[in-house]
Amino acid sequence: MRANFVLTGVATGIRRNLTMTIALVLSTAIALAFVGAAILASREITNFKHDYEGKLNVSLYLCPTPPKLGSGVAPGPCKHKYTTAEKDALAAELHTDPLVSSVKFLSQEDALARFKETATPEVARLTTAADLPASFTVKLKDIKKDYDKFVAAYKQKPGVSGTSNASKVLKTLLNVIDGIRLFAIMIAIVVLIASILLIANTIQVAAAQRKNETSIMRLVGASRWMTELPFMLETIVAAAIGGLIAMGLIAVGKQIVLNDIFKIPVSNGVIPNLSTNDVLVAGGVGLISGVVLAGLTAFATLRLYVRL
Amino acid sequence: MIRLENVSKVYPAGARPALDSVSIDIDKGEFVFLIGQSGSGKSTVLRLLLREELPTKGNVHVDSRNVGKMANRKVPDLRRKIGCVFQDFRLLPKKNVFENVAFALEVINKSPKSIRRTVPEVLELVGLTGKAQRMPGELSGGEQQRVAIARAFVNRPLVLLADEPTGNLDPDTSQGIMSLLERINRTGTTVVMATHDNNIVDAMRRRVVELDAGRVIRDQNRGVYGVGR
Repeated sequence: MRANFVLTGVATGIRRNLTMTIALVLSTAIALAFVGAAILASREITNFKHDYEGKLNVSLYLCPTPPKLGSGVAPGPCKHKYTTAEKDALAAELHTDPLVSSVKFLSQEDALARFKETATPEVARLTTAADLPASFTVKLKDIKKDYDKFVAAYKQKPGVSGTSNASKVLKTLLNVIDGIRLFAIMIAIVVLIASILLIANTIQVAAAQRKNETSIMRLVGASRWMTELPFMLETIVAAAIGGLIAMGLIAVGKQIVLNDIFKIPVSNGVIPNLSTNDVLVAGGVGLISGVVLAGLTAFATLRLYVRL
Repeated sequence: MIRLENVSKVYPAGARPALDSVSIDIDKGEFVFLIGQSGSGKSTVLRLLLREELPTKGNVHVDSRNVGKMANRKVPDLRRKIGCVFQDFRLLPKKNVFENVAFALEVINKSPKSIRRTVPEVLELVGLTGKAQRMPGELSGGEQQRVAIARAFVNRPLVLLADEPTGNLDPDTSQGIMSLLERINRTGTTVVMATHDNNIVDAMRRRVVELDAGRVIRDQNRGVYGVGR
């Protein structure tokens, strides 16, 4: 295939059908931007779940040394620091509990080490092991079903100061993002259908315009592939430009949503941020699928509706 | 070179067959006129040879290949062996003379180098030296037909099919086109020309196959147009 000859034909074809090509580029860009948005939302959900699943463990906090009376700290349920006997009894009970799948003991030193991973240096320097409670990190077999039962059973045991579970806020946020993803997917599908129909129409118009040229190509023995290639390439070029624009759109969209509207929760790490890499992956997947879809649509249109 | 064996062609909408059991045998290097009134089936014969249509019955052979039974992907190959010229020239109006002829080579993947070499040669053969950069709109009808013949012949086909090539031209210009076709025929290319032009047929004294309502009613060597009328 003489690349130069084909490419010149493609350039001429795009120029001749400029307004239609622009329409195609724009609709592909919008469709692919929504595809990208859906991918990014999924990515965000995965990030959330990753953070969230760490919190799906139930922490069973053991009694710390109770604050001295009059120190201004409210007295908890604990009368004294947990004893080794209490700890061992709890451990034995947890290990045999049918609701529990795994148990890990986190001493005050372990808790401090973990705390230091996330705390700012000043806070970490001022914190000692004694400030943090020891705990059992318990993984339940079915946290949704058994959480309440589990808490009721252990909350009152000797040596236990309290329990904690993932916050409901996270779940709500997750639902919101899931809704956004669903919305993006639906819009993407609708606009993609519009783009596919636009591609089919554009090709039929372009083929009618160039009937003369293609019939001569056929007469002098051009292969079918050769007559179809310019149309396919034009469509693919338009889809690729649309894909690049979509990539820009989702980069801007991500910047506005995560680094502008939700700037503070994101910088706190409450809402996980998305990297440039995530944007490139989402945009790239959109671009590639857009190009493939455009190519297939063009091919099918040429074979089914346009007899070149 | 070309053989039609009991070929019939019925178009889906047509009441009577466009061709009705037609048998024609054309040897390599022959020059054959295909004559007959409009609707007699001349164009159908040419379309069958190019495999733009499939025969309803019978066999069509070109260069000892059965055109009707040929796989679709072999068709481009067949067409590279057949050059085509039409009454309405069918040039690309936005390409100049050189580009129009080069187009036929570009779409069959000839190298730019061989295109630059062969196109001027064939333009010289058809008498268009010096007009390579002209646009079709700037040329006379006769010159446009020469460009079309150059495009049909540039790939040195085995067969040249001409469908009323002089239909739009005045007698003097037509004469020029005919001597060009004759020259091409002398290079060994088989020429099949469908025409209404009795002056040309009478002057050339070549083989004449006359069709009427889809049947061969005359096949005569060194024939004339109007015999027996």
